[in-house]
Amino acid sequence: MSQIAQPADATQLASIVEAAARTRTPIVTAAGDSKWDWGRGRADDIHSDSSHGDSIPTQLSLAALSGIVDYQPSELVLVVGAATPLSQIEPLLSEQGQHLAFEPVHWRSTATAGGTVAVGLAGPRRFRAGSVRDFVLGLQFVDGKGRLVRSGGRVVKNVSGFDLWRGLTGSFGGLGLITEICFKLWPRPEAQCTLRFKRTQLQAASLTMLQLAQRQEEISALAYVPTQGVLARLEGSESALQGQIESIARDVAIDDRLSLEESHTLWRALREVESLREKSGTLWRFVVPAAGWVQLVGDLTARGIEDYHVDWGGGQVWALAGEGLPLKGHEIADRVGGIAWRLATNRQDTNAEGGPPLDPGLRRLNMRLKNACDPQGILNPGRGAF
Amino acid sequence: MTEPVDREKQRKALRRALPQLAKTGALLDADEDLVVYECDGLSAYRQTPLAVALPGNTQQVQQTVRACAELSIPIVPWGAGTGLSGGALAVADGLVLSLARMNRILDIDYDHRCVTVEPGVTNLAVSHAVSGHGYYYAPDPSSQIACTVGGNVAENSGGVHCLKYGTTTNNLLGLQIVLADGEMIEIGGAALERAGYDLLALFTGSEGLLGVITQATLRILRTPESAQAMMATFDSIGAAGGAVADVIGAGIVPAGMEIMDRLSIEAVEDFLGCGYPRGAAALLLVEVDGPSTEVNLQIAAVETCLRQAGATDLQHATTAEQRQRLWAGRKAAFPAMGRIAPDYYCMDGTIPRGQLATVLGRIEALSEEFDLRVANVFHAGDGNLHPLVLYDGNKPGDLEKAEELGAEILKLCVAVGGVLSGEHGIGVEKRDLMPCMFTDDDLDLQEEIRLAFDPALLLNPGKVYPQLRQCAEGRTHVHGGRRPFPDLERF
Repeated sequence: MSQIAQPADATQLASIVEAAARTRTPIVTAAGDSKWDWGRGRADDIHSDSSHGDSIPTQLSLAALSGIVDYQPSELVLVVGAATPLSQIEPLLSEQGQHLAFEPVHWRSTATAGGTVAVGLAGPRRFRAGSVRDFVLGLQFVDGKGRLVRSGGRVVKNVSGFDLWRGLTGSFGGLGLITEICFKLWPRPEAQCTLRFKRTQLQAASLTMLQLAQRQEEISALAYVPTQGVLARLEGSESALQGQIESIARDVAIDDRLSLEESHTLWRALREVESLREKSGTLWRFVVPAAGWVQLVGDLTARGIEDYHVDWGGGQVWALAGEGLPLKGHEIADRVGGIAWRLATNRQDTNAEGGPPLDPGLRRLNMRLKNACDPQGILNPGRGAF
Repeated sequence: MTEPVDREKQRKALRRALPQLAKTGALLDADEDLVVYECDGLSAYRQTPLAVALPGNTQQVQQTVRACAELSIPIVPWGAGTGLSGGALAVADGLVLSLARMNRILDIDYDHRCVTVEPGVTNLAVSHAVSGHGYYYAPDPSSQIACTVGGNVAENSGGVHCLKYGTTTNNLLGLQIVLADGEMIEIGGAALERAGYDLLALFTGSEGLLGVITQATLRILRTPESAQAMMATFDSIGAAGGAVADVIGAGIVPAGMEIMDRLSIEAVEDFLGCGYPRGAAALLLVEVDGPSTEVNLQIAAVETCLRQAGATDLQHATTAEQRQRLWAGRKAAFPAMGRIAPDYYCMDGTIPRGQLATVLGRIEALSEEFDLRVANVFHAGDGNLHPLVLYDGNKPGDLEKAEELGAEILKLCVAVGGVLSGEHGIGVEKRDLMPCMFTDDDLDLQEEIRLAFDPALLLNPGKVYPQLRQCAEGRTHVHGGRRPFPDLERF
């Protein structure tokens, strides 16, 4: 195991990358290392034309790139160093009644802003608010040549140059190493209330979810949990929530309402996939057209997989394949026009089938982008799940 | 400079390469047919193209792009030509690729709340197609009656509701694109995520430099149950800006917030007489939408904020008609300028909201310095400023002066932490200002990506990226000498 270097700032990181590009030494980065099991796989696929031989990767900790650079509540803008922990950011925003509306997934307690953007995974509010990249206004990053580059800005509306910052979101550090992030913030809703609709039949559950998804109320999250039924989270002002609930009740029979505490616990648990992660097995994540989840779940249960939950109004399904239950996740995702990710089960797991495959045309296009940003293919090889 | 191109020879070659388009009248190369395509919404820049192709489907777009690649003919994709930055300005030896005939709505999917359209469908037609079911398409650029979805994607168009509902990029689920070599690819669809890098994001707002959009899948939203608007008058622009910050500070994200300055108010009143307060220094329009119980609470909270911030006059609009009347003046702000000046030049910088008073103060000083009047309308919610520089095109030197003043305003926007363009795009208009916002390294990477997608630089050449990189400080160098095309003419 090589030693882990820790660049003191973005400039130092840039010169390390520049040197590594000259010697074609791969660089592997982490800040909080909270999502090491994400986005592994298909490394040989993308780098088939640029083998690194036996060069030992340089491991870099980006932990020093931490801190609040600028926070202007009235501008709804936050600028932070990439390694700033979410555990520092969230209470700060909360004090001002604001939050990151995409509901960042922590996965482990060391989660950072940079990792959140690099992985690009949003929580339950993705259903209504949008994904991580919809809340990133700009980035500073080091590209594969060691250039410290800025893209985007600190304003919501911006068509000045290519939207590289959005392209880098979810790229697992394969297009550039993020050093600073500007987030668009959102007021934190004053109150929330989760409604439960007991549905034992999948088709009935699916129908209820479609009905709810098409309503005018401010439903910020919509999930299906086999043991509970359909769950819908309403958000807004304390005194206006009741009106929204009554309006839903006129058309759809509500079985019960969760207490505030239950509501918070439920959505955190779904966001962090707590109940599936407590068990052993292989975790799969599916992103599918929302109306396709019933078929997907049917395919899963036909293969003996009973541990799953459905989020994003049907658009995201989490499933746990128990030990001894090999799952061809990409195949069953493809059947409903979706994609799948398999999470690495341990640090030695090469997870060759981790990311969704790309058809040849898209694969070529992805490689063109990768080669433009990282011509030597040194940035986080093996990450970036395609 | 390249050799002068034999236009007739090139036209003949195009006709030979695209017989199907030529014989159906979808390939125009007679000078009188090309006049329509000599400028887009930025009419100060004019250039007649070599020819215009009007393909009717994706396959014909592919054929056209392949033919151009073979003949080394540059391509300028064209939607409705409403853009304000010269992003669709023709190239003398190039083909304008009009997507106007590809104007069908292909699919409406209420289960997934998305609509798939061809690129020539107008922005407003999308909302019209789904309004009967209680849905709409959120991005609403002011040209929405004419501008096309393809152009919206290319420019990442916004409108007045961007703070709450985002711009095109936040409302786009999928694209079909023809690349520079004629290959067609499809990205995304009804699922919320895609395999691979986020190419959808990269293509959105790329101003036609990376590919030709041939299909788009758009997210549609439920029409809000309720909407209410309010107009407030302020003694100063600073006070109006302060009110905007207070509203956001109170945890409210209005659907729209617009500020108009004294000159804009006067112009609009002369033009429409819609009841705006003459003589006021600033006017603020705020609209909130959502479930009715929520809207009632929010509009009350907005009112409190506005009063505390010094609003001198408040008007409520609770019915749709009242709201339309309040908005009518704002929407007529651009045409109204025609009453008070022969020409106007519309700028499009975005600034951090808190800088509004500073920036408007500086613009006032610049206005005096250049001896040209500047009216200001401001998407206050998202910080997008539209200074309108008033000039007289018949007066020698006036246009040049207006452009120079415009450039100073945009540099100012960048200097206070903003950007060159909020929604109109860089096009030809602002490309030479790019070095004010980006370093050489920033621009190098962007251009390397462009080269990776279009190695021969045939797609919309001369747009976005400066051929000569320089900014106010006089930092000048010719970059790479990669661009084989003659400079675009300026008038």
